[in-house]
Amino acid sequence: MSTVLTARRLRRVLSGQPVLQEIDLDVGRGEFLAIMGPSGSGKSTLLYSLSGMDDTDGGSISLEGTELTELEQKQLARLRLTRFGFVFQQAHLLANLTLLDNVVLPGRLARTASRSAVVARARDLMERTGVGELAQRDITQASGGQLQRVGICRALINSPQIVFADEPTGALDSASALAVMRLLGGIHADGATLVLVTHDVEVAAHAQRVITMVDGRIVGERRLGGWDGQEGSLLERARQLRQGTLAPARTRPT
Amino acid sequence: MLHRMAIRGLRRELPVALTLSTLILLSVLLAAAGTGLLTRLVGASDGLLERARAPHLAQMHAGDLDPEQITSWAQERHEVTAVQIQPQLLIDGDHLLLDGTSQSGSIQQNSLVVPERERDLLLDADGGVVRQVEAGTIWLPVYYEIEHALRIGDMVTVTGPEGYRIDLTVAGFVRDAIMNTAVASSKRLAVSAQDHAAIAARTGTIEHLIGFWVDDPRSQVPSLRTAYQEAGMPAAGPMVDRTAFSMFNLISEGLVAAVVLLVATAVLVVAMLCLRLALVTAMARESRENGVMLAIGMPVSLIVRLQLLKNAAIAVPASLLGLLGGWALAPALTGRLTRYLGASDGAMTWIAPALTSFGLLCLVLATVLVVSRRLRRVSAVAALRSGARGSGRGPGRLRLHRSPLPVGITLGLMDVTRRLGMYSLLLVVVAVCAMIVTVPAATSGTLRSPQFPAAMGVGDADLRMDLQHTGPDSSAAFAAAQHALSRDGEVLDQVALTTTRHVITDAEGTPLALPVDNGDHRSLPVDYAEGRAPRGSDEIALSLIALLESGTEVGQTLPMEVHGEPRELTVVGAYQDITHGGLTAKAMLPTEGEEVTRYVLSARLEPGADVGAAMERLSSQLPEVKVVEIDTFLEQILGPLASAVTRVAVAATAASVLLGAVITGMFVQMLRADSAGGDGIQRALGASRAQLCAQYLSRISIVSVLGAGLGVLGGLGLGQGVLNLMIEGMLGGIDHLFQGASRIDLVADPVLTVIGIPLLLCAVTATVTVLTVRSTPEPRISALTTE
Repeated sequence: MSTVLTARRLRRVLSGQPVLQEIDLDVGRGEFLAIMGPSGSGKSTLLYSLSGMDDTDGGSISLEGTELTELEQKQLARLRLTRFGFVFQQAHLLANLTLLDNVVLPGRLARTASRSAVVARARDLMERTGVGELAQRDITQASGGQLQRVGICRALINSPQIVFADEPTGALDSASALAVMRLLGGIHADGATLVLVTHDVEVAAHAQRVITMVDGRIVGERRLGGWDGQEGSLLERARQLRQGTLAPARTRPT
Repeated sequence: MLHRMAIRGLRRELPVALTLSTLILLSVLLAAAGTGLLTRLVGASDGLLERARAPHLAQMHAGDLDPEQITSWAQERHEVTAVQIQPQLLIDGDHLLLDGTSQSGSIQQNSLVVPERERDLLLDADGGVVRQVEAGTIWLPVYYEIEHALRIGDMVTVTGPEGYRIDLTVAGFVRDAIMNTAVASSKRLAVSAQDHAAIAARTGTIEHLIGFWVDDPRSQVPSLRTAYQEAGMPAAGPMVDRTAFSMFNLISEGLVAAVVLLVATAVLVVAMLCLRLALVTAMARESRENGVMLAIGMPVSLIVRLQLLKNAAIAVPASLLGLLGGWALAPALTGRLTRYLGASDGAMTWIAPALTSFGLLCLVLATVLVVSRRLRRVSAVAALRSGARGSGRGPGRLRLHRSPLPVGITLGLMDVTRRLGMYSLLLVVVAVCAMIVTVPAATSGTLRSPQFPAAMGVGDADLRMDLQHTGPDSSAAFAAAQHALSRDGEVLDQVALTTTRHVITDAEGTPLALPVDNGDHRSLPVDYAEGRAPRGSDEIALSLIALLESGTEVGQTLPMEVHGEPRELTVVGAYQDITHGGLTAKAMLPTEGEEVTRYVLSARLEPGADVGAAMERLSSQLPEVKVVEIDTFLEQILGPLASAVTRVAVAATAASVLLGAVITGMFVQMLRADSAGGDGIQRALGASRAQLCAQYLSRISIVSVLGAGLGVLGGLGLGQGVLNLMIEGMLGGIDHLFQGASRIDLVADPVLTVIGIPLLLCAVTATVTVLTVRSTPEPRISALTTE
């Protein structure tokens, strides 16, 4: 598996405290990577740094040979718009737009396709994710799970190369969480690289590879391989993760 | 604890707090300065009239009179406590030079007088009475010091026939309570008794100023005026009372005070709107915190007190500083006023601004109380939920996916239409700014436009000749002038008017002397507000003030004495007139045997003729007649007013640019703070800073264009009213305000008003928006989107 995203000796300091300490990480093209760890371990900070949404205080991040730490804000923004997609824990949809317009917004900002093409793709995504009938509603007229699915549609509108997800099921009930994970699994199955942060073992069990962070460092790594989509095997994978049978951190995909 | 929470709240919203503080300071400063200025103005005007013991009623009379007749008549009037007749030697402009400059082109009627010792006094710069003038010297009205930069030691020369000449050295400047300001077209120059007699023997025309003093001016002056006119006493000239003297002073120097107060009011309105918006926005942003406070049992009154404390911390220091600034600024604004009217430093000049400041402070705090009361209507749960959802309402009617416009413009338009109430603040501010600029700019443009003379009762002529009737020689001089004009090859046509005095009855049944200009009014016509020029001897057109005074309307008949017999003339037209106090009429009556007061000749020259050369030529041919170019004539009547309005227009433009910039900056900062979450999401999605800036720019630009358009329209409407009010007050005093005595149409420069002013304001708001958005530090995107 070739590498699409590489971090070397990544450091981040916030309020005088080291949050990321000498992180080395490779993300494979088409890989489903989960990052786990307790609260304050730096996993979300790592996600924001990898996606160009946050600065770093040392080290490098390379996207297919392009050094992200040397890009200007404008270039990073363009990257986030056209090559990355981001799914937040709270959907963070704009209250002043309908759900359809929320999905359309990044597509229109990118200006890589016509308005009609963007709108058609948005409607298609919403249909496929089961929220098509909510297109003209606003955020107060949908459940948490529905909003999260709209957020996923928004992340996919520009056909991103890499999708980053920060605790995408953190605010959802179990049924909604399951539905969202199926969606994300589908995205991965379509060829996107998926980097997901979670504290939930059962969510991490969906991934091909799980790394664990503590105090800003990667302390462990587990390769689970592809998931067959069966609930039974998912539970087994989760059990293995809970037992803590993690190999020392290597941080490279196979 | 409340203090700590208030301080923390202020620190969090520091830019907004600073802007609000600045606005409150500015409005208090301007209001205090304007109040101080107005107090000083009224005090100074009243003080001058009192110190100078100005007459309660004054009658000008051109020509000789019998002083005994007047004195006897006055003694029979129980209300008259004193009467004074002052001879005035009117010196023609052709025979008067001020510091070497001939006054032949001036419309000022300069008269030499010997200062009175008891009443109607002339005051020097220190407020002392000028009772005696040394021979060989002259004291000029302070008008010449201020407007013409004359100084002590300059020379005033009076000339006359057969090479007569006398030079007088300027020994000082006087404040003349009744002929002080630039608006008054008569001036008194004080000389010694011997110089007065010597000059009178060689040149000049004798006139008289008859002054009356009464016990109770308010009730006794109207009846005294009527009685004087009914008694047929000498009245070849205007009759003016002390109210009018005061009004002339107020109009001249009150313009600045009026503008300052107008701007102060505008700034105050804006400050209140901003305060309200800041409060509502803060409450929406803090609704979660308020919900928590309510949920844990904090009473609403405590939260309201917190808001009061926060805003009092802003408003009290700002009001104090504004008051101090206003006290300091008022004297600086009254420099010119002090020179004209003298100083006025009574206690009220300090107390009035303080009261104004206190009143404004109370208004600010009352606004906080009223807005904060919304909290009483919200439950703890509702506050928590609305905080979770964020501020603002849901989507409006417009849709991003349907809009063909670029994203930035679409989102800007969507936000403006969705939250029109919030943007109305900026809309109102920009509209007010546009109005502040438009009113004086359009007024100034109208006063200087070529169409203005016709609208003001001055026909489309190039030259004007005025000749006072003082005897048989006057009619001969008039005939000679007509003859000279008809022989002059460059004169295209001329209109000769003879003004006769007739008695009519005013609306209250009081006899009123009406000057009637008789002649052929079809040549060199003026613009009529209603109707047309008279075409026969049984028709008459009245000036708007004469129409008001007589209580008639166009189409009705006007009873009038002609050749001593009552006649009914049909009123066929009404027109604007700025000459001779605005009280005139036009007719075609025979003038033989009538009481003639003056002659006016207007001449239009051939196209391309040199007007200045023609004026010089005719002046030398007709030494008894004052020949002026129409432009000069109008400039001297309206010039000071037009110059003042132009200065106001420049100041107003600067003020509105500053106001627009400050409010836009504050508004954008509040918008940024309110939209921080949404902006963070968009940045996380990949919107660039330029794309976000474009959204703010489109919001502000949409509102600015609308506001500027509305403001210009409103300003043109208001400007028309202001212009006509100014003319009404100038001509007829307080009594004629809002009476329709002036009906001039505003002539606005379309390039300036339709394009220039809106473009300027939109450029200012756009620039400030971009600068504010770029200068606001951007928080970490991840901090805006993480839980």
